[in-house]
Amino acid sequence: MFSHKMIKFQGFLLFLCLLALTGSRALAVEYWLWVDATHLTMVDGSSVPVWGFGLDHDKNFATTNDHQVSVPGPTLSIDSDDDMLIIHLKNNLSEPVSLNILGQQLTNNSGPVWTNFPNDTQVWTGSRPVNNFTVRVRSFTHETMPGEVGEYRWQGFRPGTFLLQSGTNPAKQVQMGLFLPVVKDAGPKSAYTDVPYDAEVIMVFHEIDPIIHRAISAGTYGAVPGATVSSSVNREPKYFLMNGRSYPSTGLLPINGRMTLNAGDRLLIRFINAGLETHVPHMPGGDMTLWAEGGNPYPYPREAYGFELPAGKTMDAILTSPIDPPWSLYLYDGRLNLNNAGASPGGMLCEIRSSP
Amino acid sequence: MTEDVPVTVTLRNELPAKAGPVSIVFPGQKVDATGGRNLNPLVKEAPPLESVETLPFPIDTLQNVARVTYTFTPTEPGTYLYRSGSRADLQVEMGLLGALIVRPAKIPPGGDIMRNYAYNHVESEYDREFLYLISEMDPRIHRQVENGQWNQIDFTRYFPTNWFINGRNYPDILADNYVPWLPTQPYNCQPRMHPGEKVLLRFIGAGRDIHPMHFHGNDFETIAVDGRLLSSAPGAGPDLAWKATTIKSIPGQTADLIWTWTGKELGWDIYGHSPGDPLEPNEYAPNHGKPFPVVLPQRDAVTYGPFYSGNPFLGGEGELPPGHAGLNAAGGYFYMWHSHTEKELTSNDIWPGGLISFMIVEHPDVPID
Repeated sequence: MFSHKMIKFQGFLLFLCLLALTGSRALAVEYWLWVDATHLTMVDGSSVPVWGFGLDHDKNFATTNDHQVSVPGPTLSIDSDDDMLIIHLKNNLSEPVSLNILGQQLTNNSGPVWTNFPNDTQVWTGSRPVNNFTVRVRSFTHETMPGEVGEYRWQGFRPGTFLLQSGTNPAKQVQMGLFLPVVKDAGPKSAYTDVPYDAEVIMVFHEIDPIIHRAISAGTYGAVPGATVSSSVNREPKYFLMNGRSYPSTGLLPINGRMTLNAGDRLLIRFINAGLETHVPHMPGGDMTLWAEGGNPYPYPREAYGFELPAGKTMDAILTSPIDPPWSLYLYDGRLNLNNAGASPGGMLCEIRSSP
Repeated sequence: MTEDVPVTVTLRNELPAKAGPVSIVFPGQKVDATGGRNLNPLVKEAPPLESVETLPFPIDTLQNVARVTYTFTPTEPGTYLYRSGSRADLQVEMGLLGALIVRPAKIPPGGDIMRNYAYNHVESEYDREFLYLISEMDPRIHRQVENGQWNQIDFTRYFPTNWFINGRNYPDILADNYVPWLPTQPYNCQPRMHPGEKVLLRFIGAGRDIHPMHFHGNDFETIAVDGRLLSSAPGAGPDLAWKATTIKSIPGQTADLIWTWTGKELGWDIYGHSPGDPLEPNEYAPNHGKPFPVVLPQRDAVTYGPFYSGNPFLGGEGELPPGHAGLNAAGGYFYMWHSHTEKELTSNDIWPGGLISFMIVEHPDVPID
């Protein structure tokens, strides 16, 4: 846990009142995130340029070498009694970025950001400039410029499993890796009201087309002079990843490390599709119960051995341990994306294991 | 198979050695496997027979290795899928997939021994059932297999151009089961019914793509997904069922749909009755004797589709123009049921083909099977 509790100044009087009445703790959780370029090594040894998020360990961005960005980015947890999430974002890329959590409203949003297309030389924020019908939205939320630090606040954060993505040129920046899970429990070991769990695992699905990644990294993607890839319309993913890895990477076999699940124990699986394609998490031999979608609990849970997980969707499932350990169950993409750049076996296949 | 009755499936692999080992996964079932080889983490596999003799095992071990036996007891009735779990992208593409139907062991509480039930609840009752097992094909991959170009197979370039219901494309879909000219595609998908009957459609997404299957004629009700009745509580029946005109066929998922048709919303009598005529079985009485609202043009003033009988009434017949295909001798009503991804209504770029079938509503006097 890298979070740091903070008392929101404006709410100080309210805080004192709450403290007196209930003994309530802090109201907000803060994270310091870098966004930077790095490379991801595929299981077949090839290296793909990606962009990622990483936590600043000093929580001040004073030193530049104390962070390591990853794809997906680090999971941001919010305690059930925290009302607000604050993210300080340091942009080490050469283009503006921003943050957007699907299903949560950004409190201090001064976006969207509009630009003149294709030159991208003039910027407007907020409403569309009057009588200008050719500008385009570049960013859903306010941007953080290269080298600068931005702040993003979400007040009234509701419990659930959520996907944070870049809100700037998302067709480009999200597939480059600018996404991470954000999770908040309704209570201790309880994902939602009446959805308790004993252990949890997060599974983030996404795909990579290395040709697009290399063009973006080289600055030859999009409406730019000398472009080698003009857009993602012909995107053809070669790598199909769970938590940034593909079969047979260690880390997928098993995906949940050394975990002891006795008969009847409840494993919460937080499924997130951060990619651009639909996947179908499929667990032959296991019965999951689906409890919530996009952070919204279902009125009635549903039993299933698989389900549709479109791009941008989150799904919370409970797998009840059928027996005492040892046991293992395999989970893969029912759409059969089971290769690494065409080489079989590979792709989206992982193991959930219970060890004594 | 029947609920709670154990099942044994023995698999021998007679494919060429280069195809590699073969296996079966049974989503929704708790399977024990014996024999075979244990090299695939997902499932036990049967190695190709050609390769077994070269394995460094004694002969009695070899006999055990050459086949794999899966046993399970289906504890929940419903519609399921089985398909290969070995190099599944290629083997499922090549056709190693199928349907698994588990029937209830008993008549549900309050049920009638003369009726059919898909699940252990009276509201899963049906008169007729039809299978919709959906899959796709990229013929380039099949040619690579045929030509032994195993190292050129690349599923990241997958581009299907053929689409199948129960292993057939339209119009073969409508031909009888087991016709001699389709020896490796024995199953059709030709739903037929009498008005007022309940039709159970067992949908299985067996391939790798999503298909929006669309029903003309009436809404259907989805009563179960993945072999589980959509219930708010055990025994509550399909109280969480939903109505729609289009269902997504999702790879690896199954869905059970109930569809019925009476002509209720037409506002005219489908039999062309006079008000004093007796009712037909299951006839929608409020429409009885209501006149057909259109004056039909003369025969040669319009173009007739191949499924028009020459008469607007159910079971009717009439004079058809010379050269008409005459595909509807019994005077049924044809409702097209098809994928609404319209490019999937082709076979190798030839229209019509692919994911099309027709429900035919027949006059009660027309025998159906």
